[in-house]
Amino acid sequence: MNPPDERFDIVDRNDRVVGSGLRSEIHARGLLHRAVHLWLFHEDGRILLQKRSLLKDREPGRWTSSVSGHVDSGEEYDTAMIREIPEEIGIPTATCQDLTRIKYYPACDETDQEFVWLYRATHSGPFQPDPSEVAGLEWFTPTQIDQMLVHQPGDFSSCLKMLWERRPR
Amino acid sequence: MNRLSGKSAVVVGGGIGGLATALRLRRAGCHVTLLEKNPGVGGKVAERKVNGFRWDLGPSLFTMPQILDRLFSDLGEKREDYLSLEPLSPNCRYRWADGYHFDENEFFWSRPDSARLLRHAEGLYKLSAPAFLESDPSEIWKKVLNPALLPLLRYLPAMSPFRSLASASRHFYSDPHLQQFLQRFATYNGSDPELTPATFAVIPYVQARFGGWYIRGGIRRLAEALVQLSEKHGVKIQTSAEVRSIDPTGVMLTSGKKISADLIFHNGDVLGAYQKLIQHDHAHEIASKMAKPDRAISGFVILLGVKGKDPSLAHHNIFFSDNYPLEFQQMFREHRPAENPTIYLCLNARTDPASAPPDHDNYFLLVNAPANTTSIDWAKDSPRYADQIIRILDEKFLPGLQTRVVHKEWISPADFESRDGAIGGSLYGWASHGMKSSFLRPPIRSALIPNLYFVGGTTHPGGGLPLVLLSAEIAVRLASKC
Repeated sequence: MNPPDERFDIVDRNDRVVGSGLRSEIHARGLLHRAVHLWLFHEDGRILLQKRSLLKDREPGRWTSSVSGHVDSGEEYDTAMIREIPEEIGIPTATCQDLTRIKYYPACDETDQEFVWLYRATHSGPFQPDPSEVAGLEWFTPTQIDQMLVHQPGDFSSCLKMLWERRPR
Repeated sequence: MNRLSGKSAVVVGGGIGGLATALRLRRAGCHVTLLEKNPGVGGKVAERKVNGFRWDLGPSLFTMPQILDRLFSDLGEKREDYLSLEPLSPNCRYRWADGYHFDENEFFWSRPDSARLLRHAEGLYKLSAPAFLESDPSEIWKKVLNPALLPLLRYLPAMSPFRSLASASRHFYSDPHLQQFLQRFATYNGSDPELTPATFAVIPYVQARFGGWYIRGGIRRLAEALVQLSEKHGVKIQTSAEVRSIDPTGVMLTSGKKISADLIFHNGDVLGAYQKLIQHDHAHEIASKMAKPDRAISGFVILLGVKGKDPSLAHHNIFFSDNYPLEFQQMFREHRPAENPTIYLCLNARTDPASAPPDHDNYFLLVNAPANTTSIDWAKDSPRYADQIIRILDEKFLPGLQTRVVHKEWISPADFESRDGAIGGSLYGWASHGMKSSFLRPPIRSALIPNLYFVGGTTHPGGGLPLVLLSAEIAVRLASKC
């Protein structure tokens, strides 16, 4: 789903809010804005990846983080993360164990000019994904992700590739 | 051993049900003549070709391929030698004007709420299929009372025949979009979800379990394959042969020619047969009783040739209206076309590029339309209604569509009535409103003429290619017992 009328905050190079604008305009003009990503870990160590809906205007059908989304206008990173989890994968945020921020990424081309806070949490499912946002959910071991990035790099969103390559070790 | 061997049979109507019946009768040893009023056979399974575009005009969804395969294997043939079937994924893409959309595929059916719906529907399918799909109404209760099926009764409350499909949709899904998705299965046979028994939730189960399939080259190839088999197996087909009357000794053609037969099978609208063909003192009495329940809705079809290929379209697509109850209110109670209808778009060029010229697509658009209505002059209003539907798609879903249309034509309920003999243009016989009309369609064997049987979409078990093929199976089995 790509509602054309969502409003996001616009930020400067230091991630300070300087205004707001419509989603379509922000993307078209390459303005800096904010997003959150979550990696959900299974108890056995696998990571949940989400296949983006086939009707997304950007990178349709590609694998990305378990949950991701824009920070809406007037919202903080944490409130956006708490809101996106039930919206996208249909579980109450409170059922995610140890939800924490793990790394901050400055805006760049790979993130489509988004400042990104990456979170992690533990949850072993089941999930009730929003079929309008999510075309697939699968568990992968870190080794599988490494191998897929070598053999099928086009299957991943450019943002996830960057987050994964520069992930905290 | 076989009561049919050596008997003469005449099949009236060369739709898929008539062709399948003729082939099965021939296999059982009958001398079979099939009479078709039109110059060609195939019934609603027709196609249209123009300027490098090709559209299937009749059914475009195909599921339960095992029933088709069984027809071939019962004839000692292999389906693969005649027809190539390909699975579709997704089965269908559903879209709403607010931007919500989803693909109906394995991932969707694995959601906890969908999986729960499927478990119930599967229980119901196992409970009802042997009785309902594979028997005549006269045999149903015997089979329902089979003690082996009793444990499956626990699935009934959520999908009881006394509860509506609309009510069941609210039981299984909290999201209104997904409720609407489930309700739409009532329209598969042209009925209102608020009046259709919840038991119809077995249809999505059948679709999820057996998949959606495409017949390479178009569904018309199915009719051609059955004609090819008819020639090979010795069914005599007479086209442009319209039947004027049916009596226990055989049929009379409009040409005045009489064809005698031991057995008569009518493949066409049952109501039409009782109103116009059957020569019996009580035929009109039965017809007037039949005419009372709501007739299922008809359809308005638009064929478009479109420049460019839209990557947002799947093979089967549904574009939902914003107000579903209003749509059914206008169609069933006000008997007029819905102003803002739900639109089905079949794009078989997505699977079969040969259906359209390079860099073009072939859209088959279908909206439900009232059957039996005299309030509309389709000859006059069709162009305006076609443009209205194209405009809805353009404004809400497919920007720029209007400027990319290079070919446009339509088929109205009035055309369906004159071409297929479907009374009022009703595409599926009776609406499945309430329990009686859903589960007790007119029986396959005529009450008035003991050697007359009915096959096709208006008789038992119902409309759609798989059920039509089943009606042929049941009819020939019944005849072989009598």
